[in-house]
Amino acid sequence: MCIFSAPKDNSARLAREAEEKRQGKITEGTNSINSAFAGFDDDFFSGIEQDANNFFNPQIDRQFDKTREGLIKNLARQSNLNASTGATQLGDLDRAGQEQRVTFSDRARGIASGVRGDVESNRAQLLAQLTASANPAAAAATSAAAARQLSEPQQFSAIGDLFSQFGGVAADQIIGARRGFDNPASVIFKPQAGSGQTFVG
Amino acid sequence: MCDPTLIITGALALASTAASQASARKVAKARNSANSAEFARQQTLSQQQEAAFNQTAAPFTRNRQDAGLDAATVARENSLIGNLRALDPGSIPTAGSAPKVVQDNLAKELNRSLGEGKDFAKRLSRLGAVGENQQQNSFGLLRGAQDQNQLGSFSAGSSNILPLEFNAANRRGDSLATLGSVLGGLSKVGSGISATGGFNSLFPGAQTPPIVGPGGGPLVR
Repeated sequence: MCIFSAPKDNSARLAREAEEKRQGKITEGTNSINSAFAGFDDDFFSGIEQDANNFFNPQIDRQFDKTREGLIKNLARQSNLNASTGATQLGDLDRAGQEQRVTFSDRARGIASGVRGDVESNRAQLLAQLTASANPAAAAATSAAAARQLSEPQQFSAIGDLFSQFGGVAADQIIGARRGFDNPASVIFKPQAGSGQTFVG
Repeated sequence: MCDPTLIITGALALASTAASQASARKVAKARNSANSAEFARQQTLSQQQEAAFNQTAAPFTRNRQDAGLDAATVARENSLIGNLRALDPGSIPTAGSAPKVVQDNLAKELNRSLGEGKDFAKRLSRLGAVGENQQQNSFGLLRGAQDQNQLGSFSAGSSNILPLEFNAANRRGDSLATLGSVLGGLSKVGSGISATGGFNSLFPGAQTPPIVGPGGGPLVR
């Protein structure tokens, strides 16, 4: 090296190499995140919706069937079961049942949409952190953890009393039938011998 | 006879100028090269940003939005209607003596409630589909923003290095510039000598050496 020549400044070359490396890491990390989140497709969210329906529908059905049983008993006691007014009341109950099924089905879809939003939000946060940190290893680990957490089964809250406007009749009627109250319904709703259970039709 | 000091001084001045110009050319070339490379990088990133934007903006036409809304409505309708439960009139324990008109009435009521359930599902689906479509739009915008953010980061990171590359380019002509300065300095020394009497004033009594031309003959007499 010539003693008169100034020491070589490589700062620009080093900075350029570092920048290219940073961009490569961000691209690599983005691929890792996309790979970790690839499982969150339409089938996944349909599954969540179905889980929610599977949770809600049996509860709706149970409440509906119980309320229908009470209404039938009440109509029979009032001798309205074979009358048009009975048909109308049963139709009203059925309509309420259908509306509840639709409402809860809509809620199930909303739950799936909410999870979809959570997934997208997590993915966005990870990408933002990756762009800031250019750390693909951390991005891969964090995105895998986030994906696992998002894949865990959803918790659904129980549905409340759906048919209260039709309620209050079943309990009265069952008590009446058990006490031998003589009305047309008692033929249908008398407790089965030995079982202590009432039954319908 | 012409003073050789004057000739040497002139030659040094010319060489100094030439070295300075060569240095400037080298610097300019290096700066242009750095600038061109960065321009090409920025152009590529700009094209990628434009493509990302076009992809993000593509769904935001009336036709695409209508199609998205319709698709969301149909999917939601299928889902909601699929959860309805048709009640069998036979499951209602009407007495066998019930008039046919009552039985028909019951069947009609149950049928109507199912139909109204479907209508309710369709209306609710239409409402829900608006939100669902909007959610898809938001996701598209979010992903577009992520792409732009990343490409913007690449662009800023790259352009931040350009000043360093310019600095490095500016030093590319340092050797020639130094040579030019040295030659310029010598030229000034020669001018000084020439002004104070030339070669003979430095070496009184000495014979002025002839300056030999290309043919071996004296260049200056």
